[in-house]
Amino acid sequence: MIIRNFGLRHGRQALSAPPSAPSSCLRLLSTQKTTTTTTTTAVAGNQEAMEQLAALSATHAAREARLAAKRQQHEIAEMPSKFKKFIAYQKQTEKLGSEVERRYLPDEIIRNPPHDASLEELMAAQCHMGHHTSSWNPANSRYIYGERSDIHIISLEVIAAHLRRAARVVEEVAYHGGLILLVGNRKGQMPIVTRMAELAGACHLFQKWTPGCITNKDVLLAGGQLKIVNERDEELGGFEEHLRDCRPVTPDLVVCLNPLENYTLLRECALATVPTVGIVDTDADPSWVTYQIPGNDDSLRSVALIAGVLGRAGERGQQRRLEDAKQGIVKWQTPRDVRGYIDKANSLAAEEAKAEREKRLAEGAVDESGLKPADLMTEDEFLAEMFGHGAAPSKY
Amino acid sequence: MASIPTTRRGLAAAMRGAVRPRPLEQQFQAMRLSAKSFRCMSTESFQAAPEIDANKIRGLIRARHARAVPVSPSYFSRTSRFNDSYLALDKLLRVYGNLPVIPPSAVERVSWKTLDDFRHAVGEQVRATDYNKCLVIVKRLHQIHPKLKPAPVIQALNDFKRSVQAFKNETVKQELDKYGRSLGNGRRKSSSARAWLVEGNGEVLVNGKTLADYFGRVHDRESAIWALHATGRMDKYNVWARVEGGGTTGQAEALTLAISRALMVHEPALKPALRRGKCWHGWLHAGSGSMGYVLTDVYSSWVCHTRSKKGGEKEAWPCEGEKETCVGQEIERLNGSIELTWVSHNGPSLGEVLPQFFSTCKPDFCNNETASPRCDSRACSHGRCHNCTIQSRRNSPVHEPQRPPSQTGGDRPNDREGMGSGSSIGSRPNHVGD
Repeated sequence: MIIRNFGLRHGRQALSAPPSAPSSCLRLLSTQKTTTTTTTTAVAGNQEAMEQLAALSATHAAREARLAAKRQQHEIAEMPSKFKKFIAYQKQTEKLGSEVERRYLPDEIIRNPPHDASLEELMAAQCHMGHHTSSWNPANSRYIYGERSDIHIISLEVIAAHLRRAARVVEEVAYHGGLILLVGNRKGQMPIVTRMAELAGACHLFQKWTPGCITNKDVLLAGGQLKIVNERDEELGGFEEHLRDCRPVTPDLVVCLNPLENYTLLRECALATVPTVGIVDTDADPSWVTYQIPGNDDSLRSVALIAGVLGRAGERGQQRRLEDAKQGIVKWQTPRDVRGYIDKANSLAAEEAKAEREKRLAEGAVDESGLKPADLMTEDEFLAEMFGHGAAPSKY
Repeated sequence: MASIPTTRRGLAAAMRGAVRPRPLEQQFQAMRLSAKSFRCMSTESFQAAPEIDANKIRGLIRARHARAVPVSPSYFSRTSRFNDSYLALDKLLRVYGNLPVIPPSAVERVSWKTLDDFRHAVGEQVRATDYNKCLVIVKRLHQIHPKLKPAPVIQALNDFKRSVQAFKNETVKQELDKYGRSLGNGRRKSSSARAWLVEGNGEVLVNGKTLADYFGRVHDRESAIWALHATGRMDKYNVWARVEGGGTTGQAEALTLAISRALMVHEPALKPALRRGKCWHGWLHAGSGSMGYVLTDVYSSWVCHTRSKKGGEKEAWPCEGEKETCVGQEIERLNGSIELTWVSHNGPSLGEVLPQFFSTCKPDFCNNETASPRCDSRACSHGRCHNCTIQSRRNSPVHEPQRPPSQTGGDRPNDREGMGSGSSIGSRPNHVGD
């Protein structure tokens, strides 16, 4: 491959005709003698033969390179038609052969996560596998079913119960318009975290948590962009000034898929009284998170299942919230700073409008705001209104 | 009352007035309304004004519920714009990853944004490892067959392309004009030079003066026509040059580049020789190492770092022999031999070699017979000896007066001007010297 590419790259240079030197007699007539390269070791005749050989091999290499380039161009030109044929053929033969009813597709759990995890699913996803018994945290003894082959086995019933509780928490936070942050920054957790955040309408973090993003948010998140939305999640205008001046936001719920690596984040959440949900393996400290989900946090499959259930819960919460908003039911209150800004802006606008109206009246403009319905009625309508229907004096 | 109204209209008007006195303008407005009712009868169709939007009233906010939410889901990562584009690319790769790709050698070359460019563009402190991961996806997507590449992919890749694509530059093919002249431009410091080269017998005119008249300093005269010198073309071309700006050194060295470029039009095959003679792009860069020809005052901005150092060195050493390049090779070889004797002290010491060199440099030409063993016949085959020229350019060992004689091996001229006026002038051809 490398050699072929080398040939293609450098063959082009070899192919390009040597620059035709202008036929010049003057240069040859000069007094300066042109030197010739002769190596002290090689005899002249020998060298000539070698030069001829080199020239021959050079032309051969050039021809080879030219052919290879042509072949490659042809291949590239044929690619689209070949690909079309391939797709058509694939479609034709798709239905051939036996049908496998249930297959394990690793991506399936991320693409289409279940709304609830049964004990079988939890076991299939290896959620019950804990760590080596020597590395356990005794605070987890209430979640542990037993030990086998020197590893702790987490009780599946406990996992399912805790998972449902956590899912309920996520759903209600989403329903009440809270901001959820999904954190999973171990290797390979990026697709899980981003997909679940997409489902739950949450924020995601698959890189290192920058220490201070909650406790020092005014500095660290100063450049983050915010928008103001209403109860139907439609963006509202007129808040440019507020968005410029307001403080960065803090999550209302943090879901952490690997608490062991996120000590700082969880501590900051504790300081800011932000509730947290976390997968607690047998070696983790359950007191770091508010809502524990005992389970295996080392298997991507297990993490994907647990995060999937939480993501679906968030999705349900958001859907319920938006449906209720259509009916006029809103379960969240406008934050105090936004409310303050609205009041201030409205009072300012009212004052401005009043001042403008007075100014216009002073200039002698039409007082359109003073128009009453009577002003827009025809004479008949007005008289009918004044004297009652049919009671208008008929003599006129 | 002065007069009792006798018509419906009059009564209505009186009653209205009784309800509320109206300004004159409003009465006119009422008349206009009734006048409009006639126009309604016509078949003329028109679009009524849109409804009043209360939210559009300036400064008034009617929202009952409002809250601040992040625009991007990557809000808490602090590199939200980068992460969004990274995830978008990842998605594109998942969707379009099965499209056929062309081999890397056939892919259109693109200069992608560097990390600094990208950081500047998005205004975030993106980590290098993350950006590299992103570029891997970008390059993979770029490999998709151009005829099958979907529009979203093209659009996404545009964000990672530099605004200036150097690979799209086309070199302007220089040609001789109808009189057989070639033009070359050169710049150095604040000087700029244009040189016209025509086949001839070695006459040089700079701004209408001969080289010796124009440049008082021998070093500058050498610099100016170094391209011709290094390739052994000094008496085969005539030079007519215009130089502007800067001082003498800058002008002379601008001429070096201008003449070498003009020479390239006549004989493109001389490029390797010129490169070895350090007259072409990057020659200084090559010369800053162990090779000779070190200019004393060089601005780094002058050097065009078009290649990496590794590539540059590789490029500067192709020794496949075309006859035109042999002169450059000779100079190179000679340089190398001198370098060796100085560095390793294997051959005769510098104290022995230098007097031999200078003794060979007669005021006019030196002949082959009198050449020293080091300055062998091939070096002097052009009819004059280059050794002294090379010596004068090799200023680091020769022009260091501080170096004790024991280290460099004996007595040698440590006065640059003295050496230049003594031996170097003699090595110049007649038309260059006085």
